[in-house]
Amino acid sequence: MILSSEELSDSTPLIATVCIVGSGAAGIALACDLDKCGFKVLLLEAGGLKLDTAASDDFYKGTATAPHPNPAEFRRVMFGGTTSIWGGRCVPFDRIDFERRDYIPNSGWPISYDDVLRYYPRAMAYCDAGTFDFTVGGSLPGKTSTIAGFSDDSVVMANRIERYSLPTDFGKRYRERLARSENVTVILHARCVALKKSAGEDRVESIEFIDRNGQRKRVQAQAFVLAAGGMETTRLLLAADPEGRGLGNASDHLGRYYACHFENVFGKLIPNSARVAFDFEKTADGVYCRRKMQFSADAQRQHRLLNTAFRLHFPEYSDASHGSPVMSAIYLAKSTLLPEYQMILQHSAQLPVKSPATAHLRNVVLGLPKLVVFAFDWLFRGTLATRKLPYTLVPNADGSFPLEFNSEQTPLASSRITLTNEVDRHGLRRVHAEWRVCEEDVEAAKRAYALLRETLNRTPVCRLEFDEERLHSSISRSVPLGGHHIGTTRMAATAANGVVDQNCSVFESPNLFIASSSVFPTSSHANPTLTIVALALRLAEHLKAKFAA
Amino acid sequence: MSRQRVLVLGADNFVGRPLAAVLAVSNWAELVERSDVRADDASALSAAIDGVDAVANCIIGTPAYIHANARALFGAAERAAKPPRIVHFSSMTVYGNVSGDIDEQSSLRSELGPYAAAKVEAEQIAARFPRAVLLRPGCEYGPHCPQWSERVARWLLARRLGDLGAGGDGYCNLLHIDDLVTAFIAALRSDGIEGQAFNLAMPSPPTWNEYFTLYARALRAVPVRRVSRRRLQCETKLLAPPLKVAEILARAAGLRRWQPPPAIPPSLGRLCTQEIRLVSRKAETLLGLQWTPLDQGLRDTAAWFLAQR
Repeated sequence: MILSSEELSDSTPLIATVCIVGSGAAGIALACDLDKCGFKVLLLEAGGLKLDTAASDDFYKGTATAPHPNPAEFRRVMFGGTTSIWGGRCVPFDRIDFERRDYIPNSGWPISYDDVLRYYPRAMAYCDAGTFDFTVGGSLPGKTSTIAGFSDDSVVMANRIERYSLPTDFGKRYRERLARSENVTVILHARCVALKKSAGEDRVESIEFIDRNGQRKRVQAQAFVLAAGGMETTRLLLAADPEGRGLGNASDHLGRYYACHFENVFGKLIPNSARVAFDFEKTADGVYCRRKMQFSADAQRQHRLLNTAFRLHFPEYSDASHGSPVMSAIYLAKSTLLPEYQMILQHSAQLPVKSPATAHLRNVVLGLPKLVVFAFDWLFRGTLATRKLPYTLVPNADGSFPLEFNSEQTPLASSRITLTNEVDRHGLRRVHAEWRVCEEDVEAAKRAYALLRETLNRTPVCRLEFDEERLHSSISRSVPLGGHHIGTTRMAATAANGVVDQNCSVFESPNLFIASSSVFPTSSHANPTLTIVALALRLAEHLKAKFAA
Repeated sequence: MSRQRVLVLGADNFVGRPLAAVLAVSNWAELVERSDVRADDASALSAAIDGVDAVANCIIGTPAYIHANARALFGAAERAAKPPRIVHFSSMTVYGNVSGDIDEQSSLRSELGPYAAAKVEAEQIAARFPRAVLLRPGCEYGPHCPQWSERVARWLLARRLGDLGAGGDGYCNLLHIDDLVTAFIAALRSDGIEGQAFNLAMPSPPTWNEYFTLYARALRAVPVRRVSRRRLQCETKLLAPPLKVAEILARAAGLRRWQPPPAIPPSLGRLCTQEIRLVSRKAETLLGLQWTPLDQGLRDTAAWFLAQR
């Protein structure tokens, strides 16, 4: 059932076995999996079925240290949350991501890769990303290697893929299922603002939310799950403690170890007349995918590398020497794009080469037929298609491919989410995000580039070139990948080392759980959504075992 | 020891034919072949079941025929000097539009249309006969299965069906035709099961999306198409009626070489969203059934379809 908070009667107490806060990928996957479980579930969503821009701006606006964007970006107050705007990339974590790596401080998960692996296939189904197979051989039968003539070796794996969701808006996709549910009730326009513990107890007794009319109401439940996104979940915990320390913060880990992925575009791969798989392809099960390169686990350990992915990239939009009418047209129209998409026009932290508008216009005029073809493609494979082409890929005119990397970060206690003294309309203190890339991570990225060059340049099929002197400064200017809010309520084996335990239950409050990327102790290079959903399904199984009659 | 005399009704269809083939080479059964008997003719059935130890009633057809067959067969059996055991081919449609895990204790419901109503009525007639054993299969698939293998293959290869998104989240209670035959055999031979009904479907069924995707891959109908809700509605509501008419006309004209594309019926849209899972533990326990792995079943089915195409 789905209803709006103003439809709730004042006299009816809201009581459930499980109350979920937030209806993004985690909250909705969890709610769907608890459908027909035999006990009552409430799912509270601050927004409605449509985007409330004013609420998004007000609730999420905060401050951040550069180059981190404002906390309001890449977040949406609505049913489905950020899945209404995500790019759809689905990548699982690797086995090494769960290991304690002595060259990465604060690494290691208290659960194993296998503990999460069994949930990935269903997480893929939730994300409409097809089969859990990320190999060229398995997903693209009969297709050639990413770089013709280069096979995976012991150092570089070039024949891996990333899969893409539709991208699935979880709110639209699962709305009917939740509307039909007899035991799950979604309450829209119900913004959680406080977690209440009974005096002298460690359990959360109720949560307080503000309804559409501005009235405060309470929900009582046996268990609560915060699935409001990494930042909002952390914010609620920080704000929950009137003494200011934060709920779940006995060991001063709450809000810390904040990680995004850092990314940059640097260097270029030049094929020596070898064919390169650059564009989007469709897997046998009909899902868009792209090739990527990664280092093997052994190579990462041996060279003390962070888990990093490399992709062949497109030329810089702003540099008209690419000769592409499509890229120039997009660049000229950039002011009409959403802020999140404007960012990708710039090659991450590179100092942009900005050609004058006349140069771009020349590209557009001379390449008008190509632009028309692109417009049809964009319309029928993009806008109107159910499974959308994720984005535009235009190869460089000179046949080289700029190299994009995105990397996990070393968890740093000094990168953190804190609360400011400013409040939003509901009196909740706003968030400040401090994020940085440490010198060790820059050095690890440099080693990664060097190793990749050494491996690829040993082959006759291609070479990797980059300006060695600018490598350090360029990587130091890397930007955070927007919307990946990781690590601030980290999972650990003991309360001394984290905020939640192996079941994502807050150490200090055993009936309070977290379903969010904020529980990830490390970030991998992988986009977090697929693993967020997998962990939500794992939590669903735990809750069913705990509460099913 | 003398062999059981077993009459198979419907020995010319996709259920009866493989069953009859197994019985014909078995060392415990003597197949009684009576292809001349009309399965809705009470007096003809009375003669046919005389001296028979068991009947495998594999009849398929229109709702009226199903109902008439049940009345005639079970009426004849009740009047017989030595009533035979009758293993009756029913369907999961008798459970109606329910969701959840459904075992044999669940009520019978006729809400899914005339076919389901006929199946329910047939079961109610059979239930009055003490020697009846009811088999309630899910969706039969495998070589020669017209509904869930042959026509689905044609839809997938024509890219008219594929990943249905939310429209395919329902559970596909698949049953390989070999497993259905094995269930019939066990139901004919096992002691202490008369008067009981058995659900028949693989455990942990895939969703319809998973089935269509896996089958499409086995058929090499790749990349699998994503079919939007609007497109499926166009198929089931706009295209289905004229295609059905074309099918009827082609059959009436005796056309064998050309068949119109199979219509995608509106009932498929409903079925693909139905979250019903048949619980078949009783068949596993009392009939000793084990299930053909899906990947193996689909491999064989795709190989058959592509070879005969």
